[in-house]
Amino acid sequence: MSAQTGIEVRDGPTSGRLRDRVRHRVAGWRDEPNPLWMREMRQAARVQVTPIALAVLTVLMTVLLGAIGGIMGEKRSSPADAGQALFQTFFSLAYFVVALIGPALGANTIASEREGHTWEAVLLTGMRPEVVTRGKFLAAYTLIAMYIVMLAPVGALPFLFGGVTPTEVLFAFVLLFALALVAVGFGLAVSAKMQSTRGALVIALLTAVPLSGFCFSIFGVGGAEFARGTWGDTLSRGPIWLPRAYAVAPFNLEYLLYLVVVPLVVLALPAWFLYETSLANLTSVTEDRSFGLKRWHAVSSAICALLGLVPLAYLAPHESTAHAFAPAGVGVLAYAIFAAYLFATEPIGASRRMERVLEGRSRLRRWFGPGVPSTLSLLRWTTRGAVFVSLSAALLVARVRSSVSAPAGFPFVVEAACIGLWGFYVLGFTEFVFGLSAWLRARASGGAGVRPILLAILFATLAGPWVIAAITGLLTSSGSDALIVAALSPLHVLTHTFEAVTRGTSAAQRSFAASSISAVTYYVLGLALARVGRRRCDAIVTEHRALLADADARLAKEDEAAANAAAANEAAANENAEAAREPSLGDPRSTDRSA
Amino acid sequence: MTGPSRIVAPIRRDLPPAIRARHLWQRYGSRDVLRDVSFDVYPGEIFGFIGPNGAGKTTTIRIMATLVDPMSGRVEIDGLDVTMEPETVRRRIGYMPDHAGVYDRITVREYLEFFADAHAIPSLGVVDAVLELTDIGHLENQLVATMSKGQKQRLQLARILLHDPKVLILDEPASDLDPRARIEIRELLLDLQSLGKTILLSSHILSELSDVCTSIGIIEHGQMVVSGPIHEIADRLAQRKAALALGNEPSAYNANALGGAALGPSLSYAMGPSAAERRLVKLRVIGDLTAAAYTLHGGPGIFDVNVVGRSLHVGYGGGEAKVAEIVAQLVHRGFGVIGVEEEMRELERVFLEATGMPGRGGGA
Ligand SMILES: Nc1ncnc2c1ncn2[C@@H]1O[C@H](COP(=O)(O)OP(=O)(O)O)[C@@H](O)[C@H]1O
Ligand SMILES: [Mg+2]
Repeated sequence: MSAQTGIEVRDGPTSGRLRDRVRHRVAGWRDEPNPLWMREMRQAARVQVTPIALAVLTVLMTVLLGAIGGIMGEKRSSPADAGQALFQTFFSLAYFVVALIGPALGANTIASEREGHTWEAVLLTGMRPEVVTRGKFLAAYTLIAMYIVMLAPVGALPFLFGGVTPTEVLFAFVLLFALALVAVGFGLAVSAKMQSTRGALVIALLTAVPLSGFCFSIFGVGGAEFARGTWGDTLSRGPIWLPRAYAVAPFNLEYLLYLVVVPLVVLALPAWFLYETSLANLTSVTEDRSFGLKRWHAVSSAICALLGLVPLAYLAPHESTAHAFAPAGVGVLAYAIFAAYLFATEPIGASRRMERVLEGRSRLRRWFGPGVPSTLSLLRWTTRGAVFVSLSAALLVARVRSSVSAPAGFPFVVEAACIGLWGFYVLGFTEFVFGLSAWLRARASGGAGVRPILLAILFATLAGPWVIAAITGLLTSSGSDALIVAALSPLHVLTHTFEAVTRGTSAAQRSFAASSISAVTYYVLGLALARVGRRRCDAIVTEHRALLADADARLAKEDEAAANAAAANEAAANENAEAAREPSLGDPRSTDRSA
Repeated sequence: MTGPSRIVAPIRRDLPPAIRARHLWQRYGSRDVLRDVSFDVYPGEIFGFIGPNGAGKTTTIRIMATLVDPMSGRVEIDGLDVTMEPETVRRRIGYMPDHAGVYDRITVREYLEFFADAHAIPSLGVVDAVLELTDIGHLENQLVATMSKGQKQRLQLARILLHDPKVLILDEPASDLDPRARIEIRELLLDLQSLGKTILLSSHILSELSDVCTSIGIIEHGQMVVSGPIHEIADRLAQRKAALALGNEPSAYNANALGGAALGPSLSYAMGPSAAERRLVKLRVIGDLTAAAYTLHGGPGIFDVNVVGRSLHVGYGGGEAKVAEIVAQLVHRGFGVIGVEEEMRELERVFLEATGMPGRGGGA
């Protein structure tokens, strides 16, 4: 039933067969669209600005492309070159249009409802946060899809010049639509957190501008170089290389990895993250709001660990396995800091309601549930798993390589020492990060301030030792000794210890020992902080439970007293009623009273 | 609006309370915003939740509406704990926030259709039904942006009636409405009460909607000063006065004397303009009462004007000269004044006495 479409009755699927169920589902999307999306579309239809903005954008792009085409014609380049140049220009511009308009449209969604004081009414209708998120997303996505569709005729212009195949243009548009998913999702995630539209817009754009430039240079410009290295000169030099790569690259493992898996991960993992963040921010704090994000975390930490192994597969004979293992460790470390930051404001324990909801659920579900202790344990074990997987894979590769072609690389012992040290350092430091965040969270009453303090401390531990080393180095004028202090920073292992150990220099042993001691220190410190933090959380939860139980008992007692009083009143009333009836039976007592 | 067809639904004090707030505490920062707030609202009642700005009305109401969790204490609506079963509670309440917003670029009908879909109401007729009930059917194709404040308020009421909730929770429904809109809301509330709804409404102005309330609760600095049916509170106060006159210790007067609500220590409560200066005069006027109300509304020294039955209730400040001035003004505009009766409202008297302020003569 939908009042907005006016469709009243919907029968169930005609049979249980998959085809009928799918058909029923699809008909459902048509007949009972997301209420929020429907309303936004009705509102958007009344805005006069949208079509004007669309027209202006289209005209601007046409003029620009026409001008470029004209200039290329003057310079007597071949039409194919002009076509390729137009294609590159158009889609680069379209990329930035989508990367900036998408977040702006997304940022406008939920914050504007909060600002306009219409949000609570929506919340109280009982629509699930998922439905709200999807409705808002669809509304913003429909708008940006309209922009892309409006640009399509301009995008087809390069055809007139040649040098571009229809498949290429088609793929480029598909990529644009896929990019819009993430762009709108990003705006929506910001919006879900913010109270004012202006604030959401400012934050979304301030982040989107550098981020889109960064992604463009990494995946566009850098990606083009990489692709030409992999598939040769058939690919264009321009940043929009992916569409042609899909068409010309031979279908093999590399195709699957670089053109299917990596783009999917690069788009899907952030999109999923943005969806779960929006959802979490639309869910009440007393619900299990981080469940979705934890699910995402479990999957993404596994994927990150696996992606970290890719360099191991591309080792040249003279390269060291330990060096190829280094990025995996950096990835796990960076990801762990991100995860600690993400879950830093987790509630200390489950709310009264969530406790009841989770009571009958599986242990796994409760492990993903709210509360500092379970979050701490989840973070630790996923990270330990990631370290274990990459460490053992690296050791295995080193072992195999040493047995196959020993003389080219380093001896296995050296490789294993470096890999083991780095793996253990990463493990120790991530334990420290998680312990620290749990401890900080346990001390802060509402979770406020945990994130900035956590980041400040982590920044100090990563960069601080270098500063100290530099200063002492200057003072003592024996630089290499002073650098030992820098072993307190995990990066020291990569920059100095590896170097020293593989070269077998005299400082190797000292450097190795200093790094090992630092790793152990971080590990022990992390365990201790986690223990103290967890104890404190347990104490708070126990106290809170006792308070609730006490309140329950008092309220129950009050209820009982009220029930007793009511019963007594009733009894008294009955007695009175009987007393009133008694005179007719000739009771002397009653006669006395009436007299 | 008011028809003879309206049957006043009985207030069922024998049933369990429709809203039951019990020992609510709420703290923001180091400030206790609610301190042990308890009250009951029985099915069929219109409960006036009254207190100055910042007293904690909105906080209490948001707890009832499942939007905020109290630090401690319970609210039960229809026997359900709002913190434990928010989803079920949301289906049983209609909550109208203070300063609620509406979507502007959408028609009245589209607005209601959206909320009908959002509530997943399995009937298409419900939008027409609430349009008729709230008397905004003639506006159905108008854009919400073009509606007056009073019409928007009725639209909000229509919205919260869509899912046919048992309990209506209205935060400051009559603030900044003109006299006519206020009268219309008042009538609408009585209509809703006759349909069996339980209504809780808040106000920072005691007189605003007080004549439709069957019970009141007065909150001040996060504490409930007094709560219960208006007549009961009045009776208790009369007893208290009598006891005081007999020379009993005031301390013999324990909290139970006011239906379980503790009397606040001392209160310096100003209702808009200073309460002590506010007076009420009832004028019997021939002619269009609403037009007469508009004539007086907003004049110097006039706080509010309400049409009640066949007479005009004017809240004013100043002495008897002001009454003469009001009458002169009405006569000048061609309204026949056939009766002048100065009175202090029962509720206002109750309020002043409950809070220990000196009562004013000329009352009931
Ligand atoms: N979220 C909040 N954070 C901090 N203080 C708040 C919050 N909500 C309300 N308050 C404070 O609580 C007090 C009571 O507010 P409120 O319940 O809105 O009063 P009322 O509705 O009676 O005017 C006010 O002093 C207000 O500043
Ligand atoms: Mg308020």
